[in-house]
Amino acid sequence: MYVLISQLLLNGIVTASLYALYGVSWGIIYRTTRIFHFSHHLIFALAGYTAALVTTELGLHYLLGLLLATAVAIALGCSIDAFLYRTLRRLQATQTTTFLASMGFATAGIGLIFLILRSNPRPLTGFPVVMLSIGPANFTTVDLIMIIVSWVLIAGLLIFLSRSRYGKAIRAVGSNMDMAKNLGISSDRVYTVVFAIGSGLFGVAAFLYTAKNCAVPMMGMLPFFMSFTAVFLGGVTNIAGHAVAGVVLGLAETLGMIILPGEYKIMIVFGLLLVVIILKPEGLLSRKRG
Amino acid sequence: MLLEIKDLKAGYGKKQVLHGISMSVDKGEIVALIGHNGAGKSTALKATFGLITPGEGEVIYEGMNMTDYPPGAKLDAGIYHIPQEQFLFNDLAVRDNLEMSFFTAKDQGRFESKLNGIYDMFPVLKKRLDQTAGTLSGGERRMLGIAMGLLREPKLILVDEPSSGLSPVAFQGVVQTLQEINNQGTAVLLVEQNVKVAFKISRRVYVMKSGQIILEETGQKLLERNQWWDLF
Amino acid sequence: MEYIYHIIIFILLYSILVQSLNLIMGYAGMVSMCHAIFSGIGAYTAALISIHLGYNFIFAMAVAFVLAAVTGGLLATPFLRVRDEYLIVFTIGFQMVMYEFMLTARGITEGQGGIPGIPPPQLFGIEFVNPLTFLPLVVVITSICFAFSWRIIHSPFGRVLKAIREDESACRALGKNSLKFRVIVFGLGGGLAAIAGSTLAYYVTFVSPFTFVVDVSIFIIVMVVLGGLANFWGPLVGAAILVGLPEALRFIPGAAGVIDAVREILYGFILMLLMLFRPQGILPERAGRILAKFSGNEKPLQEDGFEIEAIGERYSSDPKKSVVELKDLSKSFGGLEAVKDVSLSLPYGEITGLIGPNGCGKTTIFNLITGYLTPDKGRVLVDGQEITNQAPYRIVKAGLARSWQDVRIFNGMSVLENVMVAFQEQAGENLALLFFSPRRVAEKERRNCQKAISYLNLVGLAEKANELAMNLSTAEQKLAAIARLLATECPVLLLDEPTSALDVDSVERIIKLIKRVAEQTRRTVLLVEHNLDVVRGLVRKAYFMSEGKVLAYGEPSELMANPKLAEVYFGID
Repeated sequence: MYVLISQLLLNGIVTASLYALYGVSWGIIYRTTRIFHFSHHLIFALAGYTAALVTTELGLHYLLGLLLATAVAIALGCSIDAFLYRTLRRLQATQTTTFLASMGFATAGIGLIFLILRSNPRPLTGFPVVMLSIGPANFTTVDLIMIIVSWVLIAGLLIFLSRSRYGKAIRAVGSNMDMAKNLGISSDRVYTVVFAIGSGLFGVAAFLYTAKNCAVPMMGMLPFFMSFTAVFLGGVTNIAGHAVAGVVLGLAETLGMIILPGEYKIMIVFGLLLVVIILKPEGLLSRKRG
Repeated sequence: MLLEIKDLKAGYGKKQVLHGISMSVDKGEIVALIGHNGAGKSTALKATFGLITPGEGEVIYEGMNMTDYPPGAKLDAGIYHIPQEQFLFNDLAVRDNLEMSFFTAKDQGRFESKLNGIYDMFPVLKKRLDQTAGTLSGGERRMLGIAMGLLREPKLILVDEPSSGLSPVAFQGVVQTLQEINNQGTAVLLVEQNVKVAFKISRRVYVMKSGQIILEETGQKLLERNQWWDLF
Repeated sequence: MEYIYHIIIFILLYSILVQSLNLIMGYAGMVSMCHAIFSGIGAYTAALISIHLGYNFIFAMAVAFVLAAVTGGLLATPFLRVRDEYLIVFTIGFQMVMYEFMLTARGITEGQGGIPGIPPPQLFGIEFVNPLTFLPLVVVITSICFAFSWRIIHSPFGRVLKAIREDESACRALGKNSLKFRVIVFGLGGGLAAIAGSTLAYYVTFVSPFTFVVDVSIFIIVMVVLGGLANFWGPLVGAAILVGLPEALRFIPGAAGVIDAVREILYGFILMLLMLFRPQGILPERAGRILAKFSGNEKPLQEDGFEIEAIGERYSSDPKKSVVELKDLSKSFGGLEAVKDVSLSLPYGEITGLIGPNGCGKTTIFNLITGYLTPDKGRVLVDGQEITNQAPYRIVKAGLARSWQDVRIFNGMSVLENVMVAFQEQAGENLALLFFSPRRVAEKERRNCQKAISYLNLVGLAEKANELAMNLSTAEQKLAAIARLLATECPVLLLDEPTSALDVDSVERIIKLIKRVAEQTRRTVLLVEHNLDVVRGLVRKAYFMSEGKVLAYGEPSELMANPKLAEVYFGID
């Protein structure tokens, strides 16, 4: 029993770290722009496929795979904002309309992946996988890197937002868009940066995910679901809250396996969301504004 | 004339609030704009500053037609707008708010020295640098809003109801600050509910009702009246 | 030939799915990402009942309908209470969770393999097995579902749905419990989807979880948007195009293998392009043509001789009594006392003003009375009955109706529909009555229509009854809003800055209208205004507030002669 729990705990920490990363990657976009960015899952898939194909088919070094995956993610994320979302903004489209357009684009994109690459899983080659262990619990270097990279990126993001000039501008736009406009701060440009950051983070996450699993067309769906669940669970306004909520989800999902069989993982997450929505709809960590 | 507004019409989508107003502000003047709530005073400021695009009419600043210029361009030209509400970033610290006000300025290198100048003028703010703006008192908030404006060293400040939410004492401090700014050469277009004070400090006053200007008079003359109910 | 029947069957089944989503998305304005799951619930329920219990297919489908409707309604309620984005969160989550469940709960759903061997439906000895026999059955089922939807849409219930879609807050201010309507329509939509799903299960004689994957939910959305949101025939058009089109691909050699991928690409792009260029879809929504039904022709309308009753007299048992009383009302925000121990009363049949400088607490008082804020202390009474702390839609039932400073007319509905949605206790808003007492509903509708026309005549908008509200000028929209307010038939009206954003001439018109209306119906009115011309022209007496307290009560001339009040209003040194 002790072995099971410690293994689950370790797995839980890995999952928790990834989910925290997922959360902030979508959260920074939603917090700043209020766009329900459905295409986020397409970005995950494309980054994952890039990593897999570049390392396996082209035989490039895995670090180059990481670089390219992140670059593809950033490029796609910024393009979607620049071409699709910005146009919709000019047309004064509602949030629902933008959501549906995003969904349409993502669906078409996944279809394209299906068409060109079919659905057989594509692995990532060349990532150093070494078995490690702490006590009775086993893990690999991939897991270790997942934990380290996730928290380094999250910490980096939070520091960037609180200390750097542009980070503050991003928070300003998210906090009071009208006043930002009043100060001449270009929301279009801020949006581009925010999409770059959010997509880049999700791209790195996709790389790590592919290193552990494989690339399949719908690979981004579950991470996307976790990302927005973490955001609404933690409270939209506080980005640190997205990370914390991600940890809660990851731990709950993994440790829940002590009670429920593995297939019901996602039910735990959904159940948690249901409970929080009923009890504290503005999110676990959000401060009630007087 | 520093600023000339000619026959300005503006609104929000279908709701047209300004039905053609004309005003002017000269260098170093304090001009007041008063009227009942909903008369369109805030809209007039926003349309002048470019937060709303005017439907018709002209905004001429320093002889240039700036009607369709966005806020960024107006800031560069030397105009600064302080809205009535939501004029701070509540989640950000006091220092960060000031930094944001300076974000689009062209002389970023001089930020620190200008900031020190602001601290000299507003010692209260210097004490609360790291405090979140949302936790400041009403008077401190207004001061921060004005300080943010001064950081850009504007030639013309558009201030929207600085007295709202303030105690008379706090408002007095704000008024003094505005007068000091004006003494140093900045023109002020002031929308204000406390008309007595507005009449006292303004050279000229415009009165708005239902989206139109119904009266233009000197502050002095208006002070001499015994009642002002008909202006509302 | 069989192939053609097969395609038609699919088109019809999808059109039921799309119509049921149209109810939710098009008419009620809620985005649902889990619609395929509801059809899945239907399919699995029908399969399990038919196989394990052996009951007739009609019974099985009825159970499927109820199960889907109840599950959908119950689970959606906590999310619908919050905000619109949360419904997206919920429905995506529900889609994913239930899909996982279908794939993995081997005990119930038999997992990935699905459930084969569903016995074909039987009725009067006929077995519905092949496309030829199944087609008439599907046509009948589709017709029933469409007729059911038609009845809902073209009814007072449907009208409230549209109002909720346009502006939920304003709809609640007309006395409608919007949450109830949204939950009901979400459940019903899910139930209809279950009917489609179970019919499909009977047709293909097996159920597989892959039929109900998230892509299908997305496809249904694309179909409903393409055909035209809130257009009754849109679902048929959308289904016909998007089910029929990819079938054409089958005839291209070599395309069969990629048909799924191509369908996804096609649907995705269509959705994206629609949102960019024509978000309302192919067929436009048509504003209700209630008038045509009753006057028999297109031309609006004659006076029906309906007498506008003096509704205010509902509370006239003692004309000296105050109709509305506020006692010691207090409300603070954070540390700020917005309203402190305010007591005021509205005398019967009079227009009473509430004035004061900015930030004096007028708006807070207004929101406290109308239920948009809860007081920290104090009571609000109407005709002696306490209404403190009640939700906005209940306040209306107590006899108080409010207007909005920013009008909040329902843009996508006609002027007449705007007025008609405001009537209270409409029989047609009750689904049981709608389906089982159609004559009573029709009679009530006719009566309300007559009243509505009379109100429109009163405000001078009768010729524009069938006009879409969004095409009216601001001044006309305010007039329509007044007619809508009158239709609530509340004896007490609370007007929030009725003349804001109007030019001087329109202000004059509104003043005259309010005066005429208040006198004719002997209503009690509370008027919050900043434009003192309006106050002078309308009110008999007014309350003067400052810093959350009532300072004075009297006729406008008295108040304006008071130097203390002048100091407060115009500022002190």
